[in-house]
Amino acid sequence: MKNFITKSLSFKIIMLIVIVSSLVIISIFFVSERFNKEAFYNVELDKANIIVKTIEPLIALDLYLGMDTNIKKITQDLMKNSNILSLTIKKDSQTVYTIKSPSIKKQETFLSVTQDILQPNSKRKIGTISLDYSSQNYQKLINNYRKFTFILSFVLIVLFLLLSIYIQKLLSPLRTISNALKNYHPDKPVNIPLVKEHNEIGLISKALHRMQKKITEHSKEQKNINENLERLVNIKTLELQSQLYTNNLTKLPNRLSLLKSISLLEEKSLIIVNIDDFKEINDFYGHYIGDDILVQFAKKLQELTHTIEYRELVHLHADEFALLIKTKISEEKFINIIQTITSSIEHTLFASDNNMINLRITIGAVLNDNDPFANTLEKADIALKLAKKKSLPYLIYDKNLGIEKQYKTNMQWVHKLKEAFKNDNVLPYFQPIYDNTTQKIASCESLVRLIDNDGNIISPFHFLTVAKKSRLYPEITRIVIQKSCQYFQNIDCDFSINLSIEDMLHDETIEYLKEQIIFYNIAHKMTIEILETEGIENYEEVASFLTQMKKMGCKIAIDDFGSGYSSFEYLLKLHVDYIKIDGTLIKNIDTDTNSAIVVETIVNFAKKLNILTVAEFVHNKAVFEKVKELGVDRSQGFYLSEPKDDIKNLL
Amino acid sequence: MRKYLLLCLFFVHSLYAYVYNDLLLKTQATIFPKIILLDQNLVDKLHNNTVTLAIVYEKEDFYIAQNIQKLIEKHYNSLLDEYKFHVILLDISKIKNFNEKVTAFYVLHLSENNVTEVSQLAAEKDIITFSYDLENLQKGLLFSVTIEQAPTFYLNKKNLYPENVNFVPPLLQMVKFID
Repeated sequence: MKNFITKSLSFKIIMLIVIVSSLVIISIFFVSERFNKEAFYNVELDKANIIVKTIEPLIALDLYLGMDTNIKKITQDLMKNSNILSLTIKKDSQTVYTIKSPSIKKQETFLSVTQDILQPNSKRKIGTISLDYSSQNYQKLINNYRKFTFILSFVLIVLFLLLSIYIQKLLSPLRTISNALKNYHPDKPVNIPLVKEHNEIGLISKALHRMQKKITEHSKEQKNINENLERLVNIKTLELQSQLYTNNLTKLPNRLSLLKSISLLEEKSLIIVNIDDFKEINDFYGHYIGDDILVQFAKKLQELTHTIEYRELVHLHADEFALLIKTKISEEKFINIIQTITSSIEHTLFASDNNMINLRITIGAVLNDNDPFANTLEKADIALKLAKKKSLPYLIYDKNLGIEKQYKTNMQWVHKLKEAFKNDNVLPYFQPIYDNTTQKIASCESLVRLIDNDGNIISPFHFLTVAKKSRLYPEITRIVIQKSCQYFQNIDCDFSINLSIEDMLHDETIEYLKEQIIFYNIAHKMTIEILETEGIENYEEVASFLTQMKKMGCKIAIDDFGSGYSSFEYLLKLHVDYIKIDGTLIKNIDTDTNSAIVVETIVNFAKKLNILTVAEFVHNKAVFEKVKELGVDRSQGFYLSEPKDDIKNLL
Repeated sequence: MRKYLLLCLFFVHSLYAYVYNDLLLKTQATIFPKIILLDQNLVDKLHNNTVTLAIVYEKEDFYIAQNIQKLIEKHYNSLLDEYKFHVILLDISKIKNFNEKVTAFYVLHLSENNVTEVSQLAAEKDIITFSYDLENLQKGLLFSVTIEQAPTFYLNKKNLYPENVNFVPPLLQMVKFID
């Protein structure tokens, strides 16, 4: 309360008035007292001076004419003035006349005035008049002045008090209004007082009254809006929840719903049904028919499973559905359900827009899984992938399949590859290819190596497959291209890089290769070794790429020729420069007569086409001697040199 | 016989001589020169920076005039304030031929005609006139002093020549005017 009083507006105004007024009054008091004192003193002094100046001419004449009687008379008359305490007249420093008032008191203060007496005509000094003038009047004036000041101060203080009371009274309506507004709430309007006052307070009250009305109206509107919004939000929330857990197309619960259900169950079995090659249906018939087929498929699954107790049919995504059985089930019954679904679907024709479509499905399943970490879906998925890989109609997950271990290994390799990219540990190693006639290095093959965190050199055998699956393969190719071009830029030696069909069909890789060849101006040194020529599906595109490379000045080699069902047709169509005979034919060529016959046939054929032959996997002297004997032009293998990160010292 | 004759003559002369008040004479002799100095136009009345006071008398008063001359000369020692002070005697019979520049006339007892003559000359030549007899002021003279309880100054207002005789105001406040 005390704090409020000191902070209140009226208190501040009053205090301001009191302080300012006090300062003004005190200042005026001191200044005026000083000036008034001086003025009062000067007034009395002037009086004394006027007296002296008035009598001086008469005294002067009398003194001049030696009329002492007249002087006495004048002075006696003068002494009737009670303020004159004494008068002394001197002529040429000799006191001629002196008189003192009989009423003079001891210790009475007085003002002394001395005036020269001048000869009336020549104004020559002939004597002095000294007058002692009582300061009683001065003291009286000062006292009166002080009395007046004190009265004035008292009156002002009283006025300030009255003013402060008046200000408080003026401002008190504000407190009344404030008290009334304390309990204001938009739902509980208050009676704002003093609305009828015809002054500023009245204006404020009226304004507050109008504001209260508007706030109340606005509050009601806001409340209605909020209620509507809340209702709409609830509806939308329900819709979103429904959408969140439901597939829009088939209206079946979705993957999120399945995961939620799985997390709540202790023991459950799950069947994932995947429509084989559904993409082809979409591509061939269009998405409209594809979606219609999916809806029919969902209905069919519902028909097939509706008799199963505690089940939940889920649409996982496009062509994948799942059946969750929420209770323990026997293996026999479980397999029966799977076979029923498989059989029924394969014997059903789905009709859409006059198209009759037969679907094939693959099933991955997990039986009575009690994994607390809700990996049931992943397990069924693994089983599905393995079933697809093995072209089985269905597969039930078994941890002895070792799939998880393979997945783990793959993930580790992906991690290692990414680390190697980050640390620049993917490098090309160069294995020399010797000319069998000159015994000198004719060229080098760039082979990718990965250096792990322990400094081990890792062969691509371990990570190339994983790299292809995880889409890291193009990056590896790019690294080998760039680093090989950079390395051989200033070395007088040809080199070859391996490109898979995937590389040759990858536009970005091709563009990058061309850029690097141009940048390092190295086409004349480069040979492109084509991997996996067996059964080239996109022959036209591959041929086009190789033509471009040959035009740029590169040479072409077919790698691993002679393995599988390598086609001689490609040798003719692709205009290759080298044939690299597959290692499986070479490694036992010194003892295996059949291999030697095949190699000899390839060599003869190549020679007729002016194609150079390279023997890979030359791992001992006997093999080396044999390939030379068979007329193979060049040899490559550990017997001659293993791949090295730097081959300059061999050149 | 001769002694008796001279004595007779003296007595006869004395018989006809005016009786002067010694105290008044002394008073006037000391005051009148000072009054001269209270004329603010005094400078115009000087000759060779000398204040000249002429004592005008009739033959009968020669000795009186001579005594007064001595008295004044003794009192002022030929110096009036900063000016030389010269006191001369002027027989009224010679006034018609009197051409000297004087500052003031101190007129002793004269006949009425002589007073008129002196006053006319004074008015003509801007000469301050002091009169032994108060009555003479009404006959044209300017200033006189009598001894009452204290010395009292009288001034004939008609004879004040404002342009040429300009006494200091305090003197005028002090004097009694005679119309």
